[in-house]
Amino acid sequence: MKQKYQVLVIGGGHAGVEAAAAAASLGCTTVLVTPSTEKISLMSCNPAIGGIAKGTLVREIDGLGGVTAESADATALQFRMLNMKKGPAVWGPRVQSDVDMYTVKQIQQLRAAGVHIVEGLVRRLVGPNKRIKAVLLEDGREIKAQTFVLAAGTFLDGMLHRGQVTWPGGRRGDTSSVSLERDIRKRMFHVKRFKTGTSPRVLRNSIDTSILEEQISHDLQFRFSWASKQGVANTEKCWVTRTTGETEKLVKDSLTKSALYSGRIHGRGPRYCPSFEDKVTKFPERTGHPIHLEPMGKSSRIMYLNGLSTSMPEEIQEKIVRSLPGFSNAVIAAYGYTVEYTCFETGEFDHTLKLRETENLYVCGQILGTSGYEEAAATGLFAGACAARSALGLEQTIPDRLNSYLGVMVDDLVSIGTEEPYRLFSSRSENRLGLRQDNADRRVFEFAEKLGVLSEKKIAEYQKRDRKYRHMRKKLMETRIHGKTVESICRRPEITPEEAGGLIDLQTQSIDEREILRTAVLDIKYSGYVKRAEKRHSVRKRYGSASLESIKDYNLVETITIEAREALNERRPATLLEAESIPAVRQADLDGLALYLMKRSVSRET
Amino acid sequence: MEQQNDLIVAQATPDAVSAIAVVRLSGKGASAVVELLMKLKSGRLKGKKRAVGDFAGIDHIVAISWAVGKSYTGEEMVDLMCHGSPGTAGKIIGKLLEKGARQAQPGEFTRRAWINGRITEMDVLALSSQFSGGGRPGKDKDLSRELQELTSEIEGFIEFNEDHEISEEQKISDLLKRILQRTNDLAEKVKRAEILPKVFIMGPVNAGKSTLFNKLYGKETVVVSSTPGTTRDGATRILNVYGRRVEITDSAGYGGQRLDGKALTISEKSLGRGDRIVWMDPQCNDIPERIKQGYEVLRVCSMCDKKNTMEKTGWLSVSSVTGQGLQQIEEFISATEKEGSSWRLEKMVELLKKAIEAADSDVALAAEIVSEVLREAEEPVKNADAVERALERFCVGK
Ligand SMILES: Cc1cc2nc3c(=O)[nH]c(=O)nc-3n(C[C@H](O)[C@H](O)[C@H](O)COP(=O)(O)OP(=O)(O)OC[C@H]3O[C@@H](n4cnc5c(N)ncnc54)[C@H](O)[C@@H]3O)c2cc1C
Ligand SMILES: Nc1nc2c(ncn2[C@@H]2O[C@H](COP(=O)(O)OP(=O)(O)O)[C@@H](O)[C@H]2O)c(=O)[nH]1
Repeated sequence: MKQKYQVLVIGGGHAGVEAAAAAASLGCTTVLVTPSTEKISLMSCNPAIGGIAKGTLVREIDGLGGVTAESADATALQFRMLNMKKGPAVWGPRVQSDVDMYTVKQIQQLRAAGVHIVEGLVRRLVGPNKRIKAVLLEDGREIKAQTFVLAAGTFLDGMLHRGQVTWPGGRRGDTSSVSLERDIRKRMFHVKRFKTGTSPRVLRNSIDTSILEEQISHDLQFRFSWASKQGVANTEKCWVTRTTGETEKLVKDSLTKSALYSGRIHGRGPRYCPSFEDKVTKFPERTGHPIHLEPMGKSSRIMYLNGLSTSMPEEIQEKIVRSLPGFSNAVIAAYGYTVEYTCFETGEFDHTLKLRETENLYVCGQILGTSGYEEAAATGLFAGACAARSALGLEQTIPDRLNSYLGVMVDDLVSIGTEEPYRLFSSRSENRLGLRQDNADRRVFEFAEKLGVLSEKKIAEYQKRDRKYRHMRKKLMETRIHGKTVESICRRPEITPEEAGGLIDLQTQSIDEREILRTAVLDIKYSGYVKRAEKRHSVRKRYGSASLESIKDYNLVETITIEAREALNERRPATLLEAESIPAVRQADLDGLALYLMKRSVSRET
Repeated sequence: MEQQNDLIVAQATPDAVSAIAVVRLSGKGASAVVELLMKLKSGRLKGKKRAVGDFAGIDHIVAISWAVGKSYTGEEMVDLMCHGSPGTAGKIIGKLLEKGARQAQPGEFTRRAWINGRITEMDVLALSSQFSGGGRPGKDKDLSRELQELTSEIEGFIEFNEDHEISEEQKISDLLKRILQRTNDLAEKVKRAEILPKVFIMGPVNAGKSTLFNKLYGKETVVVSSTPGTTRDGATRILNVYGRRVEITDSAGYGGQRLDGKALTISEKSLGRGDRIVWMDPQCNDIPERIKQGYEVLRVCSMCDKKNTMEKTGWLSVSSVTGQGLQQIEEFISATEKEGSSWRLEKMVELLKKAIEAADSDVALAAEIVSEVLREAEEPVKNADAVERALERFCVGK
């Protein structure tokens, strides 16, 4: 091919699609290379978008001009707000999605963004590590580009496992990327093997749902994206069943037959999205694990069994499934399995998600060591934008931990690293009360503008919402009830945002406005905590400049724990920031070090 | 002030029916008193000894003695192990009181241990709530560990929505309450045990010392302590100034009508390293050499509201009538390097109460508050502000 693109994205999964759309939105000529268009953004695992922290991340993606939020809204079959009783900061919006429609919607958005889609499997990269020139496809075509984004998901030398059977594949029904993986290894990038598993799917009509607990949509008129016009319709039901003691016993008795437990898999799996084998081994006394029955699409014949990820042999999966109440006649449509794949070692990429060895190769999604569609999509968006900025010769900018889960995730992946597939949790943020789903667009706007990913239309829409927000804050401050401002009333813990909002007089109240008002009240409620988090954070940011080189023996530093002294003597970090990444060094130790340095600099002055 | 090593006694085991009860006696003359009441030869309980026999016709007991520097309190000390039947320990204590011992204040043994360098402040902090009247620093989990466990409970509850049952809410609230109880107990104990930074108000007669003292005291909204034993007499008060607990003494309270040698000596005797002085004098006369040399002094030119008052560089003009300069005095008082732990524990108690309130409807908020508590527990002498100040002094870019 003669044409040279500005940005070339390898892999049309959740990461690749956002990367391509972001690059295009910055005005780059962008091509997405993926084996088959019909599997773009395929949900390899459960048919759902969002969840605790993940749902908040999807709303950030919307604030950053991404496509996932709109597609999730357009293809939602059911909506639930998780954690409703646990506080607004940890509300987790989640939708059931129509898997096929999701792919259609994503392709439509890619086209609208002007992304060129090329069907093909990349065999290898062309050019030296320092500057990749092109990609070579299996069919011999070569495509040139200025910058590249690799988003190969679970496909790099993917191996699928079930019971004693192992076969190559990127996921069920797809071949794995073997030669590209070899090329990456040949280029001496450091890689590791991770694994993740999925649950069996069953035929809907083989289940007796009449005896199961029904789950229907929460009617909150929720949308992930401000651009989506209406709330999610309640067109599909889900059901919950619970494992019986028999289910656990079956698994316990057959552990040696599971691909996971027979020692066949060497990759590390996610602790937080555990296989059922893991659950039974780690909590042997527990029974009655909830299993959710979720449709793969509108009126789909196939239902996903959320919570029953397993790589047991087929005949045991049959027995396990039939041990569930309502499942005595269940027919499995697709068996569960585990995929083992190659991803990059921590340290290989920097805060712009560029491989350090190269000048123009960015990575995102599962190959960063993450797990989940939302994590993939968010890192994809950012990597795509960085690749585009590089192609355009623009300066890079990175998200702040304090303002977004994207910032938290990127920083965690680069600075802390992962020993197992990284899943986002609300507790990974030090500013959780500030990082809510309701204020996502407000938090990321400044960064989105810097990154250059927002269209003029989106900026104008945001500014309109922002004016409303400011107006409401003013009203909250100025309206007085019995001499007290509503703002001060908001701060009382027993006052809900709705109650506080009801105290000010606003003429019209559309759904959008109600939500903006909620955000305004919650911002007031938590402002003290957010300010303190900011303060701690700014102190921490300045650690970077404090040198520890003058400390020869940490045993003399009495303000830190003995454990930290030993670790510091051994590792000898150059700066406080480096010291922070040592596990034995706790926050209190860092403060202690800072105090020690201060005392010394004072005594030297005098 | 109570004497450092006068003879104190208390039951060291919980006040309940048990096989054995332990009565602890500490201070000068402890062995001699027990020797007398057990009809032992004089000197029999000198050093680390064990004696078995009748105790004043009350019970057949085992006595274990320790030498100075070797005991829990660091003083001469005897533990008397008697039968646990109700009343026995009480009778033994009664007998010892007759012989001149004094009932120990709660936590007084620990306080002595601390004063005598037997345990550190951190040990005191780590003492568990089972620790009453005596015993060794608790072996059980320290508070910050327990808080960390609470945190992971809460985080699990927040993140793994589907796998958690309703009853977990109850569990979290119970855990919070238990930790609150423990922190509260600890706060009380440490409050009794801690040595507070001291500030003395000194100066010539009629300089306005008592007026200032009353003014400071009257302004005080949270009177932190009237715990007997820490308040020495009418002229010493514990104030909570900007979150710091400080002991303030009006030196006139030591009986010195005039600033003669005696009054000064008495005050000076109570002064320790790091203690500070507010020196008041409307005349701004030179202050005694000994004081100038030894201590950090705030020079106050008092009654500045009056006509023809002096103004002198290095002297702070203050009026108890108009309030001028009072804030600077408070700042001086609170800017102490010495710092007890009880205020920190009290802060933790307040925060935990807030967390419990939030837990029902906003676990995320409760979690945030608990992490604040954890930061308090983990940073005994440092906080973000201190670091902030510290970092401001670094040469940036180094
Ligand atoms: C078996 C299984 C279990 C899972 N379990 C979980 C779970 O429990 N929890 C969870 O959160 N997530 C799970 N997921 C992970 C979830 O699917 C991923 O996190 C998400 O899809 C990652 O997105 P991605 O864009 O990085 O990669 P993918 O969605 O995997 O997309 C990669 C894309 O790259 C393409 N590609 C690969 N190699 C090439 C090449 N050489 N040339 C061109 N195109 C290429 C592929 O065809 C594919 O379209 C599971 C996935 C699988 C397969
Ligand atoms: N005008 C004025 N009078 C004061 C002030 N402080 C104290 N006095 C008066 O001075 C006298 C002596 O004060 P006192 O506190 O007893 O002095 P002390 O002997 O140093 O304790 C009393 O009559 C007070 O009312 C002040 O700031 N301004």
